[in-house]
Amino acid sequence: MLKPKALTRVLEQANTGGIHCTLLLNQEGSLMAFAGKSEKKEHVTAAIAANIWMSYDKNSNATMEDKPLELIVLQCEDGCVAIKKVANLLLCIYAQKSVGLGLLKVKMETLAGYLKEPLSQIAAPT
Amino acid sequence: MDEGLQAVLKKHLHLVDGLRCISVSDRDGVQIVEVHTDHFPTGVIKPIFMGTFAIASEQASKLGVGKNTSIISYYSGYQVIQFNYLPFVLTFIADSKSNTGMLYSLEEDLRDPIGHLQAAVSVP
Amino acid sequence: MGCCFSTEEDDQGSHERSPLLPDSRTSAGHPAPTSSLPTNHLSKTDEESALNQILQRTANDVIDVTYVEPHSLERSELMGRTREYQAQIASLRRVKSSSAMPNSDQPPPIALSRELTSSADLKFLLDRSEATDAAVASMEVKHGEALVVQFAAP
Repeated sequence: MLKPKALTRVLEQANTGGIHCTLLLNQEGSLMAFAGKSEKKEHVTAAIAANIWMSYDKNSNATMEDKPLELIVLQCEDGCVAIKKVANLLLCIYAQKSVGLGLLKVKMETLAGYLKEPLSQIAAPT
Repeated sequence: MDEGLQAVLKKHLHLVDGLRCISVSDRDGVQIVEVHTDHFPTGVIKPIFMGTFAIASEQASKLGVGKNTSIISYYSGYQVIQFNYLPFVLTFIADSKSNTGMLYSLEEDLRDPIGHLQAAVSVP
Repeated sequence: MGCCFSTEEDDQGSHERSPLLPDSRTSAGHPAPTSSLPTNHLSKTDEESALNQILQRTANDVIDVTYVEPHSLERSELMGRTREYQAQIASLRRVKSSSAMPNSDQPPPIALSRELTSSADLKFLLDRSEATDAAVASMEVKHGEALVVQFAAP
């Protein structure tokens, strides 16, 4: 099983330089782990992020010549949210507007790379 | 055919390395104007992909960080940027190595032409 | 329902507390004098629009995350709409666009005889790019304890 405290300590390493919070959720949109300042909105963020990921992922098979979906970035007026699949979970970073897209991507890739192996271990065999 | 707008888009298509397609459609994915290079994933400009954007953008606007302005989706090999001009959608399809920041500045250059289009075309 | 009271500033547009009748004397930040707008002046359509606004606001607050298939258009409707758009943009012959390349309309001799970027600037740019690249490449997660514990086999 996953150690929640250790997992949170890994996630919170991303929360610098304008990143509000980092979430780990399952594909149904339930929150698995959370690091950052809680604003009681994280459950909503998780549900929306998972739903948008699923919609694009479902489409990619039909429309993107079978190229797998790797990353989604939702740009909004006051901030942005990046979503990436790691093992069978979704990693989600919630950033304020000033965060550069490149830095956001690098943080996402770094964190996803680190979490991939441990999360694959606990992934239920499908 | 609208050669004016098409010509403008065509000119912009060659300004960013790896940009393969610029498309303007309505929220259901019906094409209004589109320019592309020889090869690009044609599935993206099909109605199903565009319809997904309309729903996703609406949901993303409820994240509590203001209205959604654009969604970037990265695939292995390609990146797709969809800009919220709802009921219109501006879409860029580019190689994944293309500079996303340059694509964003290209969108700024296209705001005027898209504004003209918004004024001239009414969506049912 | 207090349609005439505007007791707070609201930057998200109108809602059920916004005054329904426009008042030219009201400027931003100053609530409309409530006595000048008796409620019985409200016509049925005003009430309806107020109710619609409430409905709209509620709809905005509701987040439906059940997966909805984007509704697909009938082929005939798709063709029809495409034709309609073609006809509409036919009126859009000339489109102005800002030039993405500054000074691109200058004659070549003038554009080409411009001063070159100084080598000091170029070096600065290259150094910064390399430093940024190195910083990005060296980003890593600080390893603490193992994330997964195995259950002891019985």
